[in-house]
Amino acid sequence: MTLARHVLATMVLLSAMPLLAAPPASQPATKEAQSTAVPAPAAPKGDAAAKAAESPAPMKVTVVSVTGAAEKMTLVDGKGKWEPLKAGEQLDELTVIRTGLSTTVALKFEDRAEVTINNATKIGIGQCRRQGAAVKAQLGLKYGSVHADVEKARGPTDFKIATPVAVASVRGTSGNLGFSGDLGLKMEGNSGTWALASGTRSIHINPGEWTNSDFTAPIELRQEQRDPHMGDVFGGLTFDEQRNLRDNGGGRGILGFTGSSTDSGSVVPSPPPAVPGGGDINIGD
Amino acid sequence: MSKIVIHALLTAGLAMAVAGCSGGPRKIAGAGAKLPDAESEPAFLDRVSSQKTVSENEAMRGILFLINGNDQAQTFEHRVAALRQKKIVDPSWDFAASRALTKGKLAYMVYQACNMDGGVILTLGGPSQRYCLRELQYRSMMSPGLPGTDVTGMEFVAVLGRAGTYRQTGKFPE
Repeated sequence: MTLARHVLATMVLLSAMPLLAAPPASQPATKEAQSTAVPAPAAPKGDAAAKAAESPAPMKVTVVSVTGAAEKMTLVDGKGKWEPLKAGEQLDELTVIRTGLSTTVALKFEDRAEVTINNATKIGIGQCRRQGAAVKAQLGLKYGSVHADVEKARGPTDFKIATPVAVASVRGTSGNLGFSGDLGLKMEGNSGTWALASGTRSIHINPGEWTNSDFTAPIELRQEQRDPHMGDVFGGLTFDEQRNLRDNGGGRGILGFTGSSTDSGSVVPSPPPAVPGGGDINIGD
Repeated sequence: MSKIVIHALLTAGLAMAVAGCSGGPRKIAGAGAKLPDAESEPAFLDRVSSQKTVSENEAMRGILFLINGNDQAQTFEHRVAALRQKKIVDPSWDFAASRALTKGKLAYMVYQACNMDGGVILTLGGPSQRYCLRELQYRSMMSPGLPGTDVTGMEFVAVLGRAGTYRQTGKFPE
């Protein structure tokens, strides 16, 4: 009986050894840990290279443009100093950005995402890491609004924007996300599908749809639309007009699309771009 | 006799009306009150967003940031004077630097700062706190509430942000 216990204990210990030795996969390595990381001497070279390729590396965020007054603060040990934000700068993780009343800041997350920070916004870059082809980024929006455009084709991308009331997950999508102290959250999808979650609740937002802090279904919000806009019958339709037409129908107005009708309207796509120079295309001769 | 009484009443009424119209400058409580020097626009918004209420002094700094992009005024009195000159505040208001800003006053100042076109009442009767607030609520620039309700810091920042967008693009939020 004692022998059986010893054998069992040895087997448990042996099976737990790799778990104890390996760092937790979900926990990102700190900069210090990465810079001082030394491959295990006993491990073969191929394994070390594969391991290094698998470990998440910090991804640089580039400030593409800054219009107006904007400031940044990079937190080191929980402390930092506010400095003016300039175009061309590279931002690290744990950087907070705040903008003024007539400011727009464009950020580029390498080849994966572009984020435009609108005026009167405070947002932080919590995590931004690349592990092989996969990219994981987490932003925190305190107030204001952003436009996110995330590239899906270049590899798996886990891009999340957290607000005080919900977390928006962006995967190969573009859209606008805003949070304000009075009207709460507003999320509008332009392409792809957004996943919005808060606790046990979740909702998916498709292109042209939007929702609020209560995760009200887009179909219910459409009924609250105030006044539809006129469409342009001659030169194609803008995105807003297409969405309005889809939501409200085409109507029976003689001056284009007056909306506010229960009729289902047809969306007229924009005309193809004009040929440079305005001339006809001659094929052959 | 009755004619004399009617004349006297008319004269008294006219005198009261003229006195009421001219009004004269109202009292400014806390005229010398100051705010943090050399505070940038983003820093101001960040600070105010964490407050439960916004003082009239801070509100006027925010409106000056909105229209000028900076606040050169040193004291509350200077801010009031600058906004009075631009007709962004109503001359008949009484001002107090540390008093909490109300939705009505914020709506009035934003309406004037954005040069908005209102409805029939606003066009005919001129701006008032009540109808400016109703107009901004109709335009989805402000949340529902009464003119006398205090404005929170987050709400103030949000309204200023929407006003800034309107001044840049001429579009109201959807």
